[in-house]
Amino acid sequence: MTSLDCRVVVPERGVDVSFTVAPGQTLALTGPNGSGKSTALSAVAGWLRPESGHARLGDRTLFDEHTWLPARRRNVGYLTQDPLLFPHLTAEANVAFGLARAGVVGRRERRETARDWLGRVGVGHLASRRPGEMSGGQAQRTAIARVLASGPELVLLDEPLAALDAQVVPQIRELLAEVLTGRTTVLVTHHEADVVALADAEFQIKSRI
Amino acid sequence: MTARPRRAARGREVRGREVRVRPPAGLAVVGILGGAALLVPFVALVAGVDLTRLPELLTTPSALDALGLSLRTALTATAICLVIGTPLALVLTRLDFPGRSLARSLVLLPLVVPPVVGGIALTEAFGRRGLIGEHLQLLGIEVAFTSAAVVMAQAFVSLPFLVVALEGALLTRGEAHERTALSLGASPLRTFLTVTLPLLVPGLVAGLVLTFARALGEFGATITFAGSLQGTTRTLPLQVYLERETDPEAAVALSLVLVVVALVVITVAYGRRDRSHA
Repeated sequence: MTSLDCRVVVPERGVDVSFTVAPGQTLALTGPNGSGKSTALSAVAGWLRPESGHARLGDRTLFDEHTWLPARRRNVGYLTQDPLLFPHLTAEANVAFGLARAGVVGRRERRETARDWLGRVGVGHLASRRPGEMSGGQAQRTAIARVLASGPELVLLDEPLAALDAQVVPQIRELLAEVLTGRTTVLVTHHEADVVALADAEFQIKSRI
Repeated sequence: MTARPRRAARGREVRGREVRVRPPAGLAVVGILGGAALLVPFVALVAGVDLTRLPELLTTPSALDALGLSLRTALTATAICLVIGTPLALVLTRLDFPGRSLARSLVLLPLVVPPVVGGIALTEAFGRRGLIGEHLQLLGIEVAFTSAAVVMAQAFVSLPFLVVALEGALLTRGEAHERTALSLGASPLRTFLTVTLPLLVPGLVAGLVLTFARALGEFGATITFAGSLQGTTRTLPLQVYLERETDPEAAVALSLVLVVVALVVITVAYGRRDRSHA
């Protein structure tokens, strides 16, 4: 289990955020729109290069003044409200996509591991479906399986429940609470219920104005 | 109370559907007449074909030569466009460099200049005394007035079609799926092969079909840069132009072949688009 210590500065967006997450804990990042929650996650994921700041995951530096580790070398799982499943691949192939990094070798092992994960998130029966044939909740469950199956040291969740139908939100929140236990996680959310159910700590970013 | 059912019967506001915002009546009339004006020449072309002579007209040695040459060269040119155009579209959309917007406009140049000007430009570059052709000549390579020149002319004028189609596909889809693949630990090459490329297939198919159609119809650049030698550089459009002087009926018959190919192309390219938007 790994700790995260980071500061993200993006002046043109008015963002200067720093926070730390203890090993195995979930930190909820809350605050008004535009306060830089998502910007901070993008920077830690390696999807956005901040003007300055740093991110250290355990003893590894993800970025600082001199270093910029590309997203593929960070071992950071990133899940947004859009599941971003690969539309041309089945649920099983989507989950299997990240298994190489998790050290799962061999076609058969990957297949079995992917199916295990799909079962764990409650969509084991949809293994051969493509994302176009799934509901929003099923797709997000598959995306959760995909991101965790890749064995990330840190999990970033950017409003993972925001795009879902209200009636499936409690089930998926419950699923997240179960699978995130013991994983170092940063969760961006607007909802108090998410903080209560999922977070060990909350960091509220203040409005800049 | 009786007005409503009558309107529905006339096919205006259809029950159970959203109300359409129709163009004003005057504009609709002009639009329909304009559409008819586009179709009239093709109707006349089909009407002008002597069906009893058609098999004979399409199977003369010169017609078969032209048809075979056209298919070979247009397919080769399309393949070349695929190999060059895909990386070019990626560079123009996914690589930040100074002058990128200028570069994106310059790619359209062969599409915008008259094809005959394209042919002159190719001659200045690859002709016997051309900028590059001169050096090729020393190596014993001559391209002008060969089938290779036909392929070059076709690829030159049709490459923008593929690049524009791919740019559109790349820009509308964005990069989030690729970023996701990278975050899952995939290498840039694996990301390209397993995510970018498969997601690009619909745009690629539409682009390739248009590219092939443009290459098949190429006339101006071909006759300027490659000339009109039967079996070597005289493609179907050139043959049509030549026959027009000597045997107008043969020209009409060969034109029909090109129209049929065009119809197939349109069906493949735009039929797909309609379905994907449905």
